[in-house]
Amino acid sequence: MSERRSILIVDDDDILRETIAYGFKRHDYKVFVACNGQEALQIFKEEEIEVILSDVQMPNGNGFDLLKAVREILSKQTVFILMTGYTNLPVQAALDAGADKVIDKPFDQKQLIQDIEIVSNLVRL
Amino acid sequence: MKNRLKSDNNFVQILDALDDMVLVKDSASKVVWANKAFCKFYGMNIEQLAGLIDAPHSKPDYTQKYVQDDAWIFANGKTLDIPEETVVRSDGVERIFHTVKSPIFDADGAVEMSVGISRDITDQIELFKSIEAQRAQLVYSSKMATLGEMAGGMAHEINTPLAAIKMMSGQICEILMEEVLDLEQIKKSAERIEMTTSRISKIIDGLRKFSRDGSRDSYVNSSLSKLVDETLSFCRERLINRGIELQILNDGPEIFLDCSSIQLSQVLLNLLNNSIDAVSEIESQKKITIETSLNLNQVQISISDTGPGIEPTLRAKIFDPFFTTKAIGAGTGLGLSISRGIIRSHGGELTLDESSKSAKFLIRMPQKSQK
Repeated sequence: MSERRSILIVDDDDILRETIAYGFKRHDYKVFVACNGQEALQIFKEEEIEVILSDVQMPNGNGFDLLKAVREILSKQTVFILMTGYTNLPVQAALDAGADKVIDKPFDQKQLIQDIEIVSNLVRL
Repeated sequence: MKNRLKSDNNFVQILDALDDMVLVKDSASKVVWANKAFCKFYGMNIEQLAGLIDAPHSKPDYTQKYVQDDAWIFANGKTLDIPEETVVRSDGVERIFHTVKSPIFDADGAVEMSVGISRDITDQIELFKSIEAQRAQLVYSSKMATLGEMAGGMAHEINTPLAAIKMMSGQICEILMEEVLDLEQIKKSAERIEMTTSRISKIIDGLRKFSRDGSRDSYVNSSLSKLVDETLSFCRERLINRGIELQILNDGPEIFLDCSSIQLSQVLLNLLNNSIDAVSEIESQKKITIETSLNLNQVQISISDTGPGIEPTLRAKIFDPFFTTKAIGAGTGLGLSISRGIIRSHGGELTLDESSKSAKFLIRMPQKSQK
């Protein structure tokens, strides 16, 4: 990885959000955090964000709405990964709406970073 | 009197025609006369029975109880209603009788004999028990269906802290591989793991408690606010995610009431789930209000929401079993009928407040149980 990637982590769970943020900081990412879709969209408009890692269910703007808004605003260059703790999330619908990947909670940090690297490289190709 | 019983053929014919059993005893609790139904039950004829306190095949404990009841009649000169008494049939099978024993007075107004009329209600009791068992099973099944509908949300609530735990433990392992250990960070993560584990335990505890079959529970004096709080732990995630405001009102001191907390919690959860569904579809203010109050030993719990309310034409049907306005597979249609059954078994009533434009359900039940 030649340059610092920027990531926006969106989750209403404080501990999970901070833990993910810490993990990415350790891997030299430039990290932004938001606790809901509305807040995330605001940050997304103001900052240069390469990767968005967002929970699905959140108050004040869920992950699906955020995904749609992001895709409307910008190109497909932003990597969008949806995190879900649900057993019955319609994954195909998420992919159709423009998500690059859907990952299930709980996930392994190494695996997550690997996934992001792979997806990011694919998107940049 | 004794002679009359033996001589009045018409009278005897009438009593012998009865399916109910008739037994006449004297002050020493000895059989004076029995009708055909009674003789048949004991497998003895009147000559064999006369003068006996009880049949030889009966059990001493039971005989003693009959004698005590007879003595009470003679001492009090009043009718005694025995809703359930066990009697041994000639084949050794125990049956349950509903017996009413009354005194027979002599010319001077003293109790001369007692007459008992018994009906074998064993089959009736068995039927009642099986209906009760089926009802309990239905209550339990409906609760399981509710839990099934909520499973997705519950999984999210457990998987989110699990994700945090998994990541934090991974981070600890990473830090431990480094030359300079960031002990502060390790400590912080370990503490958070502990805290997060407790969060999951709490959810599982609530689930375990709720999913247990509470139909045979005796009523326990319980704190209503605690019960409401425990029930809300199943809904909080959905309330937050759907932007629903929750208001809890209680105008007085803490309310304690006798109830099966599992069953009452099931009712509250049913009503809350309905309210959550009702307000989720609206664009305007989404709000659910739970109000509790105590008035003259009557506990009242109302659950209301800002949803569209229940159409007047549907109001009469909502408590009917299998009536649902939800999509196929989204509801069993049993929630309200079972909830009403639970509240009624607590000696209370569950109603829809018809004066309210939006949906408002009222639970009224006695603070002290009769169970």
